[in-house]
Amino acid sequence: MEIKVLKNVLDKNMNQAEQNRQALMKHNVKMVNFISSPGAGKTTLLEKTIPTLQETMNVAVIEGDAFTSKDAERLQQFNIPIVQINTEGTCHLDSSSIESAFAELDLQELDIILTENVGNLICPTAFDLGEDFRIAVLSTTEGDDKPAKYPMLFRQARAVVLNKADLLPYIDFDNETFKKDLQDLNPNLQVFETSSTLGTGLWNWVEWLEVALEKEVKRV
Amino acid sequence: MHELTVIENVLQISGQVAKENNLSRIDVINLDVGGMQHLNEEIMQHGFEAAKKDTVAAGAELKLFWLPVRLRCNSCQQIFGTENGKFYCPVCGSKDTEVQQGMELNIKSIEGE
Repeated sequence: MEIKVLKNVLDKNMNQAEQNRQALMKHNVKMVNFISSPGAGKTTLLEKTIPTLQETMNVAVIEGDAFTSKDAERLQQFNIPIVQINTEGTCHLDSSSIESAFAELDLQELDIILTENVGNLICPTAFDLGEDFRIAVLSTTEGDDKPAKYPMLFRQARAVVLNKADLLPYIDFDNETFKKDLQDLNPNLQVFETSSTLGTGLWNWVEWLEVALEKEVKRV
Repeated sequence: MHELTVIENVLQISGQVAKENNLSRIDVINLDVGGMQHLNEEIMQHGFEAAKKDTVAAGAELKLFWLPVRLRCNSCQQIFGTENGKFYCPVCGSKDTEVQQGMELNIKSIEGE
């Protein structure tokens, strides 16, 4: 016999994500989910973003990695709460791992949680963590065709940070194609060109992020 | 490679439904998969073969129904596909669109005795 199920396969993750969202709202904490390929520069971008945010907000980081705590160690200089999640090979964070991370944080004392997902352009997009919005980080060396190849991420993201922009003169990256493809996918998307290592373009990005986070605060 | 997580969840939910309906074995699991999900059928099937052992679905077949991406234009209400890689309206050119089909990842039904 056939039994109708009509159930989303990831509904367990969705339900937990909703609970995470409620917990964040209760304590008026905003959470941002950073998604990129490995090596695009998420951690370096966070290193350059945290000091400005820290001036006005209490920031914490949830650091997702398949293995090691190398990224968390790099962020220890800021004296902020950092929770390392090791997925042990799994390619994405899920909402239950975020719930465990919340248990190690004092949400009442926080304003912002920056979550650095496992480096991967596909899998993390399928797992809602309970975040307020997602940021896609792409490095120029990955190529201008990534938005067309990974539409899900770029449709869902609130902004794209195009990192390693200092390498543009040396590589075959068509910035016009890149921006047009992004526009076609998601006309509301903000795009920032940065070089996290040289520190260029970061001001616009951090300023935008601060405003976006404040808007989320007011919405509640 | 989140295919394996998806498969684990498919087996978990199907097992639960089988239990609730007193099925002793599952023969078929029918799964809707939207085109936006970036899932690979071969990896899904490999994962399913490995993970179904010693479960109530040990002899089951996983049938995937692929649903192509369909967007609706919010300006002129046109429904259109993205097979050409374009996510804007082919009629009026608007980029203000909503995904109408393509995000699915649903167990439609299970078959068994």
